[in-house]
Amino acid sequence: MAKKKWISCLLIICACIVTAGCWDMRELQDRNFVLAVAIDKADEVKEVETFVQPHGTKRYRVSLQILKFASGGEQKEETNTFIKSNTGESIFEMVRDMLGQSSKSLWFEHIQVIVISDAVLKDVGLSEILDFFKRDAEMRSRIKLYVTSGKAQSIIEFNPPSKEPGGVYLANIIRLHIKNVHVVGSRTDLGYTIQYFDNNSNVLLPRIEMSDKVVKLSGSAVFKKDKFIGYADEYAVAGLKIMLGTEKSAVVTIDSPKTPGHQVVFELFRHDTKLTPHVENGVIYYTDDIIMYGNIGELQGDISLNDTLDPEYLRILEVAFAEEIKRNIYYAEKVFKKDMKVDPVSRFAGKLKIHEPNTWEQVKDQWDEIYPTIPLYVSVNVSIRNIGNHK
Amino acid sequence: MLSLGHSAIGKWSKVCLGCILIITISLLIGGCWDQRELQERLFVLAVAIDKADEGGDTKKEKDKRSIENFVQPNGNKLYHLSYQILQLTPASGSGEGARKASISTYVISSTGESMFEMLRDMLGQVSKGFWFEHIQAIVISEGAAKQGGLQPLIDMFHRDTEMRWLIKLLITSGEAKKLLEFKPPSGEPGGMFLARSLRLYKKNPHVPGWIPGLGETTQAIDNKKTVQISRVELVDDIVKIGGTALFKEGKFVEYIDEYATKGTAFFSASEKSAIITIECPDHPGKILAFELFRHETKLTAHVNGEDIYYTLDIGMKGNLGESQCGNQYNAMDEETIHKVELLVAEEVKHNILYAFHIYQGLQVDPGDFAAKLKAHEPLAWERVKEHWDEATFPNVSLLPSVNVTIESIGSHK
Repeated sequence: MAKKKWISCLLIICACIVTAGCWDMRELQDRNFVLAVAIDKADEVKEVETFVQPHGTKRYRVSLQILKFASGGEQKEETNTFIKSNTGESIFEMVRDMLGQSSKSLWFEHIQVIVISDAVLKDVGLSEILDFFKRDAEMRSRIKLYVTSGKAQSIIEFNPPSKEPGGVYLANIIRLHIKNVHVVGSRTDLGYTIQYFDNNSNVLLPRIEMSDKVVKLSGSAVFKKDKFIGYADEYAVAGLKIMLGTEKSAVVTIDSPKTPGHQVVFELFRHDTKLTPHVENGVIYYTDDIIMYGNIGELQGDISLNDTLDPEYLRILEVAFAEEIKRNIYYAEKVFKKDMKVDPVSRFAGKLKIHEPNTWEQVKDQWDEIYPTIPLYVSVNVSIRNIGNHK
Repeated sequence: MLSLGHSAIGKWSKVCLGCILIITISLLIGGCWDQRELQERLFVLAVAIDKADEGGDTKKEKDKRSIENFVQPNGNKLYHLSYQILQLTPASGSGEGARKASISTYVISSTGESMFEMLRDMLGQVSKGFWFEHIQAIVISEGAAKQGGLQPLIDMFHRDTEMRWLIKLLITSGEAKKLLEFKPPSGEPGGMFLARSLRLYKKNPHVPGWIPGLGETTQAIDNKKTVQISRVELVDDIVKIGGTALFKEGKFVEYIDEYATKGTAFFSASEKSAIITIECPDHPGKILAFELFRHETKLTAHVNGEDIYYTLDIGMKGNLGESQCGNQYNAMDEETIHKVELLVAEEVKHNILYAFHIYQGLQVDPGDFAAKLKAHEPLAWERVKEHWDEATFPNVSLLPSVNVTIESIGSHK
């Protein structure tokens, strides 16, 4: 009996210790959360920062943006993050050496964004740089990836006017890609990018630029497999999104047919896009059928001349918008297919593989050479709705 | 037995159904299923529209603009659009380390032609979506207004469902963006400051406040009426609203000064209060002010054969607001007061005719005169309506008659 009592007492004490939840407690402010990572080419090697490297050269500069928890005090600091940086070749080695600059260990679970300077990408492939981030268990798949033509470190040093921590601000910009057709937003994070590498696909990443106190996300960095080949502008990105049907909303501008020199704007609400491969007598071509529904978002010309209550005029506008959308798609086709000779995110290859597997088997080895010669036929139908409140 | 079993099942299913209903309702009425915190929204408080090439002279500014820009498939880079965004910082912490909630604003911009396209592209500069329900003011630079008229600038704002009718419009001869960057010394957000200043038009007839906002302006454009927009100017850290910009069929015509704005208020009877100053009757060089309390104004159109003329009868009541005429001046004396009344009436007449002649010179009808003729003399209106602004209006005459009564004398001499 007595033995049982002892055992149960011991059990209770053990349970108390464990359930209090303090045995492995670690306070939030005792962790250094890394919010953003910037990868640049190593410019000047500061001796204090860096370390003696047994192999490789001082090739990269890796900067980490760390969240600062304000704990009391009267300090009225404007910033809520700080930057640590290091130079070396292995990113893992640099990160571990950076612990020498930090009083608390670094936590990577909350990385929001990785900004990569294109100077780095001109020398090495994207997959080499991302390898550490995809391999390490602490990293999340939803980390956003951006490419900049300037210095990546200065972008993560930027303090947004909205007073959010810089990394959170940067990561949230891309969430507005639904309304902003100039940004490639869907499936451009770390997880998807790694999937693309594994599937041997081409990759697109959003481009971010900064000057003075303006940071802007627009356009796209284009990769052939993991090799950086250049930038596509906003118009090409818009055309690509419309071509592949990945846009949720868009604004399309045209010159007003009745008052030239003034713009009329179509706001896209809903669309139905179908990109289909066809094989006829061994000839491959694609058709892109698009139906768009939306309203008139803005009309800058003289309203009395642009009478949108007139069904005939509305029809003229619908045709003009459809023409502009076609032009936009063909522009994107020119930029990606003719100029860069790249099948963006390998969507065209994917379609052929699914719908015409036999043909795909024949062409897959020469796909990169064949692809730029394959024609695309676009047909667009625009329907303008919700007219009436204003002319 | 069978029936008993049935009733038991029925009871249980009723209880389950009831539970599910309660759970569903409590989920919904909790109000959290689509919650969005205030600080998660970017409220746009004010909008500035400039000409694309205004400002941006320094290299730094040029670099900035090249980043803000985007490739535009159609049209030109005509306008520079700026938003003033409200920055809400919630209070945080407690005890000594507590930080108070604070309000501030910042400005972001883009360049293009379509306001809508610029708006959507500006999403690349922010981390949260824009909310336009609380726009207070739209400031337009004179350059932008002259470039393409008013219609292209405000079309998106009256077409979009998020915008409100009571958004105030302002015009400035300088750079409009600077007004958004202005931080009022009162600590209010800039947009609120601009909109609220206009609300004081009741006491300040130098502001054409009776044309309050976007809604009226849109209506005026649709009806092809003259649009009157308050003028605002910024020099160093002084912002001043006063005077009017006139637009005819959406095209900028001219500014009129504060004195003419006040005169306009007199013939459209839109003033609630006004200060009318005259020179002291017996003490030249000194000034005396009449404060208007109440008035009755009647503008009537008359047609005499081919001849069209207007009479304007005004009865004003008020008191002596200020007398700088010196101690000897006796305001208790009835004769003296009567003299003042006559002088004030003369001054009001002068002010009305001053404004009226400016309108005639510009061939712009402020709206009241055509409307009166149309309503009371429709036949005459039919005859002249085709050439009203260019030929008829500049030649009609206005005969004002003003009667001033000074009341509430006695407390001071």
